Amino acid sequence: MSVFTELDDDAREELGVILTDVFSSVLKEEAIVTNNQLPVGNTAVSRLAIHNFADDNDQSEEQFAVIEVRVGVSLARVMAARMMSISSPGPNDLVDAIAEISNIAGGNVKTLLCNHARLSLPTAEIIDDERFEEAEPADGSTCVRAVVLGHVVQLAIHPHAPVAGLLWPPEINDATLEPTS
Amino acid sequence: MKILVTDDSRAMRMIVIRTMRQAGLGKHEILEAENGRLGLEAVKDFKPDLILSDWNMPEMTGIDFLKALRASGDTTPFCFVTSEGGGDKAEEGVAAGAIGFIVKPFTAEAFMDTLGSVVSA
Repeated sequence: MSVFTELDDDAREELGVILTDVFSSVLKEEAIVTNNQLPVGNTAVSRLAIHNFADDNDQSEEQFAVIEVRVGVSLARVMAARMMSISSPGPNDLVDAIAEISNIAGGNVKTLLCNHARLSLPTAEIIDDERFEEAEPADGSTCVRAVVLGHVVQLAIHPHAPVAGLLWPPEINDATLEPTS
Repeated sequence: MKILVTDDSRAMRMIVIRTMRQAGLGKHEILEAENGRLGLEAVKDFKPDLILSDWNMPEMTGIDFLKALRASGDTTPFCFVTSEGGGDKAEEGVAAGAIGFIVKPFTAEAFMDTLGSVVSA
């Protein structure tokens, strides 16, 4: 069984705490867990992968999950403006802001669920007019939502989502970091 | 005091710089870099008194940035500001020579507690 599936109520509660902590810390605004649905419309979405090494001696035990954060574009604009102290953030600023939010959330999810794991780099984009699932997906995914500044935001863990398109931090052999003289 | 802030997110670099001020750690000469490789290049000319760095970045990670610095003989105080809060990362970072770990999301108090003895106000 994957560490990313069949999460119990305690783990779901912790995910809610992670989501609210991340947004309240970055935006300096109260964030509250909610069951409300995400809005329909333009959305900023960022994904990154966690690669869990369940057992160092058994590569077959490796597990992956995609961590995804979604917010409406209107909130993403507020986030970028506040995070960067600018009045009119551009599309790249929105992407940067949601990517960093997902990076923070992903690191905390990794700490919560994994003992030995690595994180990919976040990949973010603005999606036009996407309609969200009203019920939680039946593929083992877990979603928690919160309200911040009147907007619903979502953190999801997708254990079966593809990770092939996500980028991993480069790995440099220690030998290449040795002094050359 | 000269501080190099290395993070691939512009938003996070700005938050780090703002939080330093909120922590009462004064206004300093700040240089920003987008990844470890650029940070390593910046160290040569900027000669920072303190380096704050993310862990996961494209081109060169924070831990490889730190290892390369130490391998070159550079002993500039180096602190991670990262979402990688797990114990194994902290151990690896400290073993490589980091003076501290500030885990995202952070508070101004975390900066004060970790860097107060290093940064002059």
